[in-house]
Amino acid sequence: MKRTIKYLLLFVLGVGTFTSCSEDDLEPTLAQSKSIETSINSLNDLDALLIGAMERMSSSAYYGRDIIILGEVFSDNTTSNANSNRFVVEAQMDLNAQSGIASTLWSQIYSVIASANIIIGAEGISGDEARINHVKGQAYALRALAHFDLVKFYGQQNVGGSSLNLSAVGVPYVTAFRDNDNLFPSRNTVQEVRDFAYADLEMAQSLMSASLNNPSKEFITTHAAYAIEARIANYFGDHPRALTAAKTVIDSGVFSVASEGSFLSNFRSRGAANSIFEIANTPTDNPGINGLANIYQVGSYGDVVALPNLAAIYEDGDVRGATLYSPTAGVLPTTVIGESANGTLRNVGKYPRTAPFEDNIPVIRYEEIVLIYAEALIETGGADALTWLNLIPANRGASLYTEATIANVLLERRKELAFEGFRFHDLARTGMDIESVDLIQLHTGVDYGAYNFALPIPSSEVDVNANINQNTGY
Amino acid sequence: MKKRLNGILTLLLVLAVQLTFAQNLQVTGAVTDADGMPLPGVNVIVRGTNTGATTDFDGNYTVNATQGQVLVFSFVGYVTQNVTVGAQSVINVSLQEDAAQLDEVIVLGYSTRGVEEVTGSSVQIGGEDIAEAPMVSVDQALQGKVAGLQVTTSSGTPGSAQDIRIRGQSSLTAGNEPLYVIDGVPVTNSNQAGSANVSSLNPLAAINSQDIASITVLKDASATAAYGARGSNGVIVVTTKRGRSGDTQFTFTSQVGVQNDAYNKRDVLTGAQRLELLGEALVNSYGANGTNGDFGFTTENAIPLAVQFGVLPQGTQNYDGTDYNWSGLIKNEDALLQNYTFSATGGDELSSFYASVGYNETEATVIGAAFERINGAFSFNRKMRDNMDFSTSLNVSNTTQNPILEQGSFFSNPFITRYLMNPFNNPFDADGNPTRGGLQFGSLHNTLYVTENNIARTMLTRALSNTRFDWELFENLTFRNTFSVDWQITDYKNYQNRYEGDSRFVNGSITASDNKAFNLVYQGGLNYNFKLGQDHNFDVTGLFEYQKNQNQYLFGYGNNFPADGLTNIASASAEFEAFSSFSDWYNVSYLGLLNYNFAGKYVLDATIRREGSSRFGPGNRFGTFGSVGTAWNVHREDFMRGSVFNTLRLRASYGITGNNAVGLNAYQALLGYGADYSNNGGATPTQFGNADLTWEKGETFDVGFTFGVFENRLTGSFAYYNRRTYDLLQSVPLSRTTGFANQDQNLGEMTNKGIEAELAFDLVRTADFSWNVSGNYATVDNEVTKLAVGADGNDIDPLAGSVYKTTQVGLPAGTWFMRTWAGVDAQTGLPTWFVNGRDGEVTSNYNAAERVDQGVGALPSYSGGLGTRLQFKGFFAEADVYFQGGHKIYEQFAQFYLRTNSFTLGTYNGGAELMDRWQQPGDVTNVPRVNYARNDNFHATSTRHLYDGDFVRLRNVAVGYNLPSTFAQSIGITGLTLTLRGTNLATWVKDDGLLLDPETQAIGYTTLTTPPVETYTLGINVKF
Repeated sequence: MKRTIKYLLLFVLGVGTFTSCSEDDLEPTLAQSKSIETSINSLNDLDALLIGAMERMSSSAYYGRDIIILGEVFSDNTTSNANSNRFVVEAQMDLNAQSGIASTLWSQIYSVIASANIIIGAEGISGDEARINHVKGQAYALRALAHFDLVKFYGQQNVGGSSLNLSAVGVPYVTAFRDNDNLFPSRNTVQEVRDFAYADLEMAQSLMSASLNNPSKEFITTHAAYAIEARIANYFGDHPRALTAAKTVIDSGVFSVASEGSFLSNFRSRGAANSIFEIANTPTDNPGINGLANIYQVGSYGDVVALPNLAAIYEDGDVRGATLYSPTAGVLPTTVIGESANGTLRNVGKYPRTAPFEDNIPVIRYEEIVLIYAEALIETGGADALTWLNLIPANRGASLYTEATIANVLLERRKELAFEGFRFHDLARTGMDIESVDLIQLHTGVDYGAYNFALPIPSSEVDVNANINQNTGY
Repeated sequence: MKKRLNGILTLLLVLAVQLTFAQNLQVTGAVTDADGMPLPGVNVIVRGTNTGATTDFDGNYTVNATQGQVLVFSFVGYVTQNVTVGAQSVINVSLQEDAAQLDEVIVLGYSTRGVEEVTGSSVQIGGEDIAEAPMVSVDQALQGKVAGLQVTTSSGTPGSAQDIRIRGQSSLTAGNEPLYVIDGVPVTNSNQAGSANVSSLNPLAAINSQDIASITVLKDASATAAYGARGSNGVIVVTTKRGRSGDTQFTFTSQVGVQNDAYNKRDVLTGAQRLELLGEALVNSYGANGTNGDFGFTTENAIPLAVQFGVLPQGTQNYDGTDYNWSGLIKNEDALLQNYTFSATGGDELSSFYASVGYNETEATVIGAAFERINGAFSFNRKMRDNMDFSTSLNVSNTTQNPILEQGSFFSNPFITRYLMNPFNNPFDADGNPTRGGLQFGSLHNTLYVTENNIARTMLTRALSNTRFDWELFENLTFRNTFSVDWQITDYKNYQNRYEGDSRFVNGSITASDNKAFNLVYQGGLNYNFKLGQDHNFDVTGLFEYQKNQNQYLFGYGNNFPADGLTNIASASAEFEAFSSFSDWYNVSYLGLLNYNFAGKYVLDATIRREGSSRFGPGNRFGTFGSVGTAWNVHREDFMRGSVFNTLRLRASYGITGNNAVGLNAYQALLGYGADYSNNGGATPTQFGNADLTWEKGETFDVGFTFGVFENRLTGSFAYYNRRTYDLLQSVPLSRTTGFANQDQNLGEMTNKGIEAELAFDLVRTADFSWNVSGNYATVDNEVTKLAVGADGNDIDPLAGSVYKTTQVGLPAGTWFMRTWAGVDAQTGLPTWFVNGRDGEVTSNYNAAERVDQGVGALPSYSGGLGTRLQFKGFFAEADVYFQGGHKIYEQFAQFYLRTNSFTLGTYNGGAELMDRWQQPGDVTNVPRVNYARNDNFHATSTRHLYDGDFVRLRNVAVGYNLPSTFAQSIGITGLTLTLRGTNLATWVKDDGLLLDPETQAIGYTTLTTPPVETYTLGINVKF
């Protein structure tokens, strides 16, 4: 009897163990993720992907901080005081292919493009067609903006010559996600990048519907698609295109220049009338200490300080100028630049709030479009350039210009857009040197055409992708 | 002495037998162990008869015998003793523990084999050696004891994970950590810290080393193949203590000691030195002939003028040269270490138990960090029936570690304070309290205030239960069942105060997280051992193993506290964050083991394991691994009889093992749903995926011999191994234009080969005096032989983008790759590097110098240990030395404290080495001129900061005294040992430039973690 039990046990054991476990029992749980292949089916899924793309855009490696700060510390607006060792080599303009920012900026922007490409390439999506197209249109516009941002920093258009060179080597324009035939793309020329971006924007404009625009301004709208086009055309000196695109935005009648009284408060509010497109920060989703407020303002980081040379271009009474200010609870700054007791000049008016770091980040403001329009009018010989130019100082407590010249537009752009990442690109696109203007600057001037007018392609890319050549000088 | 008396006595008895006639008598007596404790359950048999008895609880027996018959006293774990019955009717016997037998059984995890049946390469360390090391986790005790095993202290913070490499690095990007097996069951050993930024917490630290019976390190395929899948990096088999039958024996051990940093010569500038360099640097920038133009700076006016220009912050001009000694203030001198264990063991013929409670409290050598553990262990064995053995053990512990922010250059890391604190800052206010609200200069926090007022605590509760049931169904056929559950519950809390430190500007913050790791293993199988004829001995095992591992994580954050003294999320008011996640993995294996020997002379060992892992995609989950090994016990041959060899074994093995240490779900192309934008959740592509992903395989060939000569006074072993890892699981870098950084692929090949030798010699071996010396030495030669190929047909460097390292075919994996330092130009005072990276032309333009491989990587190519032990009567003394080298290590934070400009002289602080700076043409030095406004890249990655890693360390020195048992008994105890021990007492480093401790993490960077410690302890061991 006992023996029978033992045999029975052995049999059950044998059958049990050797049949119980198959491959299916080894299926791991997917708790926080889903399979790409099977999870993109509906408009709702596309929306999620678009939010993901925007989230990537808001990272401190991109619009959350770095792309804006780079445009400033490279220029004569700001420098790094090395308080937390951030943006030091950047302010020295002494980056190399192993520099962290060369890689994080490149990778982050291409990750936005990857997200956009999934949306663009998605097929068989169920849902309202107009809405699907509106999402796809946004993805096209994001792809254009992202490639433009890449080429501004990594393209060779400002290196080795005396003016912007369209035939120089740019960056790869990537148009498909997980494209196994093109895992190692080569670099397109600057002109190709520009033209692909135009094409993507035209596609965006045709797919999107103004009625579906998200009112929060935290997503790409039809207006933003034209505004981006205006910015790109302005950078490349395509003034007729810039004129048309800017005019489309102006004629929409949706936006207005911030008044002197609302200029600073608009930076603390969401979806202001002068905002065309902004990056959302919320109490639960913001770059926190790695964001713009923390790098500009006194505190743990506070590395990026304004140069006295910048503060000096403003007239007294200009809301964008400098006044004494020390951060105190409940006391708001009255100008963009605050001068602390020890004489340090800081941006305290834009992206103003530290913890909880919830100010949105304006990416395109109406004032920029107005200035692009003024510049395009001058370049194309149009009328009223002075009127459009003076629309800005008139609302800032500054005196008006008597003449609409490119120099005045650039001066007004420097004043209006300071700390927002434009200055370096304005110097570059107009073929100007980066001058040494103050003792605390970390470099002693860089002439236009120097190798460091372009970032190095990160070695994490060139060492892996044999189709990409390193930039001159690195 | 006693032994010799016994010998004489026996001789006399033999004589007596010859003189007397056979005579029936009743023999009685008591059986005791060497310490005089009664031994119950000892079999006493009259040889050649069925007559016999068993000793009772007091060790007494009664048996009928006639004069001249032989009584055989036998008991498991003791040397069997034969006593011939003489005229006397009382025979008391003292049984000696069978030390040889204990040594000669090798615990291999799934099986236990006699030393002569083993064909693989393994080393077993006894529990005493482990228990004596005054470290909180058992793995630290292995350093220097096992040839081919390298342990480095990645942090001296008590409880931190150690880096262990067995026979080098076998994988590029999959794990290189060995597999841990506790009481036959594989466990997970991942860092349990609540944050990647703070001190790591090693789950092994939850186990009291006093509860360990032995550790076996399995190195080659024959030994590790049973672990198939996860054996590639070697296996560490930990066996915990079991009960021993007999009267209950109590043991109390205590170790109390003090610790300090073992080796640290990296000093920083004093305030006065920094002031001097600051003035000089300003003049070099803004003085006459200044690099940035002449702004009228002179040595006299430089500081006030710089303040005026806004180059230096207000107040700098008032610094009076006081030395505030920050690096001294962050030290916890003579950090206290206490370890107490109280254990009891005993049992009868059928059952035995072991129980212990332990308490360990270890301070760190830095302020803010500490470790505390309270644990209980219980193990119980019972012979349920003649053919059923049951055993269970339970080890429960609560470990609390106060971690510090040591895993990076965080402002509140005390080691950042040590090296980078602006020395002009006064740490204390007028009342002598640490200042708060931000230091006057720079952005570092006042670590003194922060460590006093923040709460950082990782609390690991670990419960490890292991139950085994063996049922001998038929003769020699045993049905084995093992069931093991390991719960690791980690509670992490980090409160940051409202006034100073990271959360000053958010009015205090709290992070709390909770991780539950659950590991379940079931092993069931059949073991059959049988003989064919006289000499063919077989042992066959078939086993099924199932392993399930689950992790649940919950995290919360909040900031902005309304008042002091509130430290929980309940009282926070802003920026709440919450997160939870779940992950799991599964393993299923079928294992076959065969061990055959012919008359103990020829041994054949074969293992096959088919294993499935959830880490790979359908169709690729299962892999088959296995090994064959053979050994020849030459000393058992007839022709060896009478030779000098007491032992001579030749052995060889070959096998294939695997590695599945890739990320969970790594094979799938994934959308992650962690994105959050504009108050909506979103999806981002997070993983490129690779449906073909499968096992990495390692093929090992191992050959060696073991010998013992002159009555085993000289013993040793030698092994040569060659391991080829192929289908390497690597994270192959992708073009970033894909939106991904890399993709896991099975590509590439790497070899590790080397030798291992061990030698021990008893110089003196008498009853009263013994002196033994031993040593071990191992080499490892690592070479990458194949890599993934890129678009242009050239290899892709898996470390592309690294500032420090490269992995290329023909070189060791992770070879240092950087610009080569060429010294300071004696004319200009500027740093120079070789243009071609090797020799000849030099340049001061950092970017113009080529990066070249430096020939070696971060893993030592040789390592070993030397030891000696001397015993004279009750006194003993021992010493162990550990050494390793042939590699280079990089001083990573030189990039900060060796800058020659405003960074060190204006904002932070620099190394004292900066005082050697170049000052005028002709100066020959290794530190360039200081210049406030320039970046000369002296600090940037180059061989200037790459050092030979060779070192020799006096790992362990101890002297002690064993109280003779007669004295002990007179004071009512059975044994007493006192030991005074020192660890890491002296260190010799080869490279003069290396000022930090040469023990680094395995990847070779010196970091800002607590350095390894020098310890003095007094240990007491009382048995009663």
